Amino acid sequence: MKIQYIIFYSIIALGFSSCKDDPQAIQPIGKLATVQLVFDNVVGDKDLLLDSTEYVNLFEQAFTVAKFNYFISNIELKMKDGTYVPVLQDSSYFLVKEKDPSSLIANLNWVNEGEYAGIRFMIGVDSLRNTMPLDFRTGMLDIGGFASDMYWTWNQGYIFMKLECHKPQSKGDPNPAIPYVYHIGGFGGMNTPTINNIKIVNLDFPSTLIATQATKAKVFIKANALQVLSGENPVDFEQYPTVMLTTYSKNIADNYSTMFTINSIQN
Amino acid sequence: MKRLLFSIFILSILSSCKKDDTTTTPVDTTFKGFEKPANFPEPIYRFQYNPVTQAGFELGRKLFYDPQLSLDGSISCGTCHQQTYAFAQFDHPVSHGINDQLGTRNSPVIQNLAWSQFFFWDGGVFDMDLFPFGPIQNPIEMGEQVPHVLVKLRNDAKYPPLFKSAFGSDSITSTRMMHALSQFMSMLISNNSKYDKYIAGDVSAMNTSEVAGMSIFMQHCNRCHTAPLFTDQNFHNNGITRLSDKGRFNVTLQAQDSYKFKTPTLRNVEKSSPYFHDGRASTLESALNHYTSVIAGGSTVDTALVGGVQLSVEEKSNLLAFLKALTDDTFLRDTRFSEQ
Repeated sequence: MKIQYIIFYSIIALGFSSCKDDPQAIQPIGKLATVQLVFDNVVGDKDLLLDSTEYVNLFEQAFTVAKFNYFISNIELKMKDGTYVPVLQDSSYFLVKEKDPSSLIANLNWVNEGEYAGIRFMIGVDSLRNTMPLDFRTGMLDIGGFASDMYWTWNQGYIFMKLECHKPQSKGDPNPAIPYVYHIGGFGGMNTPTINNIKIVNLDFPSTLIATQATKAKVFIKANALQVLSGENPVDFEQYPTVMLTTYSKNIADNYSTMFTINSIQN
Repeated sequence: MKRLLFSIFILSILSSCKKDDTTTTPVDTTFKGFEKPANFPEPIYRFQYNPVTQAGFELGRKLFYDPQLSLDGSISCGTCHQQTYAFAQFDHPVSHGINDQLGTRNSPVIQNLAWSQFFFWDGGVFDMDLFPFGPIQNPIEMGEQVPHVLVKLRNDAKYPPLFKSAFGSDSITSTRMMHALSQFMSMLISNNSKYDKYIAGDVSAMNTSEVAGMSIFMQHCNRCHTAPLFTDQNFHNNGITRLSDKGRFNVTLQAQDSYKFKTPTLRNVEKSSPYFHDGRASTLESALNHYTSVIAGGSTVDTALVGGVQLSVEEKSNLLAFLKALTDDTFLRDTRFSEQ
């Protein structure tokens, strides 16, 4: 029994040590810097203001936005020679929520000092993490915490992007506002292949990012929520008022795969 | 020398008698943790991340029977999963949630979950630790949110010390809460039926009718209800369909999975009525009659079932006798698993 426990605990210890924030094990060269990703959510050319500003989609249908959340993960920085350096995978999961201003800033620690020309990341949560034990789903990934509204309890997997809108109402209208709801996820399945809506975004910086230990270089990223409803597959609210785990969700994921642009770099 | 040998002999008899005394004592209070029954395969649950301890198991049991896990404090896990019925719910075709809301599916048994690859009738969840989020947060079941349950537990003076003894500190997190529930649920092992005794070598454990029933079972039922777990952990359309519930399709979005549901285990099936995913059969006889009647083919219906299984009256009664030999009274009455 004792031996079994020792084996148990050493497996656990091994599991943790391989996932610990240990920069030396992953990136042995140079000094480490922190780079900040600063997200600005917009709708077309307007700033995103929850439950107030009215916007229109490509079908000229008016809407307000009640919720806009998305996961960013598996971040890599592009060096000038075109090669990519991963940011420590374990500490590169970020859940951005328009409603929670502190979540609009993502601190990338463990970045090697140096000059970078671009960034690559995943919208969503990778398949492997979606199948990991709860021990590896803490912080931003805690489905009993910050990520509780970004997880399907009936079909195990993270929701990658949530856009919830309402049809605008005249003041004093006693009827509940008509909702337009888009919850997109799907990591490809564990034992059976299922829908895979993981998207990779690849963006070049408009100017060189210089990461040093002394400074905290910033990447200003714009996320355009209108793109969720536009892109290659414009969404008609009348036809698709709700899209969750259906085959049509692929179209929405394709749409929002182009919603990010880099506004500027601040060294 | 002879005397010495003799006294050793006597001593060994005495000590062996002593051993017998302790093992036959009805209440063995030592906590043994998770033990794999000899005739079971290796478990699927990842115990290396969550080894079962007595404190963890007891905390899990307390959570399992705590109605604070529901929004209005009216129902606990144990409400729809009752030990006497192998942790299914007697006389309820579908589960009843808060505010008397009706679900769409029959609440399944909870036993031998450490070997379960899939949870829910459609297999939407594949990790026991992630299962409780489902019923807790389903608006028509317990209607709560896990973050809010955690707040309630933190504010309940009973819980922080229990988390401390189970996990080393009184911090109450979703991971710890789910780990405790899994420790309790993984210990709900049923492996002491007449069938198990028979398989272990006690040929007197089953009577001739039950033995005859077993051979019919192996011929017609074991393909899906595969021994020793009595499930193939797979999904089938057995001809029990409602257009409103496409089952496995809802998870995979594959047309060939439409109306397929997970094969339920048949252990303690005598006690776990009603039957089928929508609880439409109230007796074991009527559930069996479904398979012996003509099942129409088409769409995704399992081809082996089409036309029905032909059984004589005697064969049917033997088969029923065998199914009842899967009842495990030790498990159903084990006070370690009951609300304390």
